[in-house]
Amino acid sequence: MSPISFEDLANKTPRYGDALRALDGWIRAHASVDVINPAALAKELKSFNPLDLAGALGEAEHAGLLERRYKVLTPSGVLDDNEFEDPTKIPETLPDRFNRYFATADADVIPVFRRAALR
Amino acid sequence: MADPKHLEEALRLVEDLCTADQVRDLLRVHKTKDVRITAEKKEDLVRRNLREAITSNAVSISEVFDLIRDAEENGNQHIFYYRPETKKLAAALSLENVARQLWGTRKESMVAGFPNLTLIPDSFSYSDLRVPGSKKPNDWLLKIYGQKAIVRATGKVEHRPGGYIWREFVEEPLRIVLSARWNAPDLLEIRIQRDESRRRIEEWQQMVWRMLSPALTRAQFSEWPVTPCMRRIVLEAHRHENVYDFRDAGVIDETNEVIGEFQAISDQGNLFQSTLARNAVNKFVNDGGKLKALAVRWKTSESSNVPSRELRTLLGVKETHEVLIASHCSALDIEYVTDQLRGFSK
Repeated sequence: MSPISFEDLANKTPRYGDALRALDGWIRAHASVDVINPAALAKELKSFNPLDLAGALGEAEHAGLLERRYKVLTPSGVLDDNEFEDPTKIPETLPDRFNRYFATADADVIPVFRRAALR
Repeated sequence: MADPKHLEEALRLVEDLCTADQVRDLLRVHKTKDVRITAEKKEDLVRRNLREAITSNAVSISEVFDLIRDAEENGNQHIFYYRPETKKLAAALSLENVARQLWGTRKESMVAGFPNLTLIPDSFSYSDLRVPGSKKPNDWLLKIYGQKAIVRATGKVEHRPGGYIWREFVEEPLRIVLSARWNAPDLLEIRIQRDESRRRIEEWQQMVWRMLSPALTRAQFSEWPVTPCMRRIVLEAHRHENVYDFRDAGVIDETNEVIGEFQAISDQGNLFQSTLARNAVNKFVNDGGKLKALAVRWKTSESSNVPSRELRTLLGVKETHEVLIASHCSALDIEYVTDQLRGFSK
């Protein structure tokens, strides 16, 4: 069975149709980007309501086009390199960008999305 | 056929260290020999399919050892670079000489027994000595296994009556893989597996030197700093856009009084996409400041396929001769990085 496309999904869910098409366009324009950070996406697709973008990401995840992952913000406020399928599996400490380990207990955990086809 | 004890240990390591794809790739090479590839779970893939392939001699145990070597020797490690003090020493660093000095008359039997997969609790032992690839016959790699009991917090915390807080710790064995890689003609790499404890990393590095000491000593080598390479990598970035980019840079001023850090917010960001950041880092470097650390992403080359996928490295992690390879990669990928650093050091 061939997987559903963003266009199919946009037609099936008109509530998020425009946001899904914009998301598809963004993904095509950023072929080298493996992971979609919703905050970065919202910054680039300014003409869309962030709630619609969040809804589109959720629909794409539900349809199997994207997979949800979790990343941790380092104490400097940037995304850590490690990625987790399950937030409960985040270890107590992680290395930051300069390999200094920090406690994850107080760190923010950010959901991100990975393109399913790229796994 | 493999010794049954050896086989069990090898299968256990394959299951722990290798991905299902790596095991499948090995089985696929021998698919004409009636080897079963598909399996519901990784455990079945290793414990049933790979075991059957080995016992039927479709896959040799040496191929399984190579799989383990690939998984545990490359990446997720700190590399400390050293240069021999004299050319005479460099010329004498053959595998043959090193083996003779390490084990004397027992040399033949030691090398014949490699790889030695057995871990000895609270101890370190020689695991392997070999030429790591066919393209550089003068290179060698000495591998050391260690096992140490460490105490780790499980993250479970309980608040009990009376204001007591109970935090759970477990004692567990830590498997340690260390190596010394002679990268002819002029570099010795001490490779230490990644760990959150800097003290352990330093102790393990001393352990490698101690175990090398019958053949060569720390005093015969000087550190090979990667800081001059970092400077060139930054200043020449615009000329090598297809080769690398970088995301994070640490700088220190000319008086060693002020440090600064630049980090792209996105984990996939490129620092020099910001003109302001590029100008600032270049000014630091050009006006007497120094780079303290540089996170370089080496891009894949379509022509050579090396590195096989993009590779993240942190140059100058804590020491000027230290590089961190952030994730698992192939032996050729690490060689590529070292060759790039050699090139940028000229």
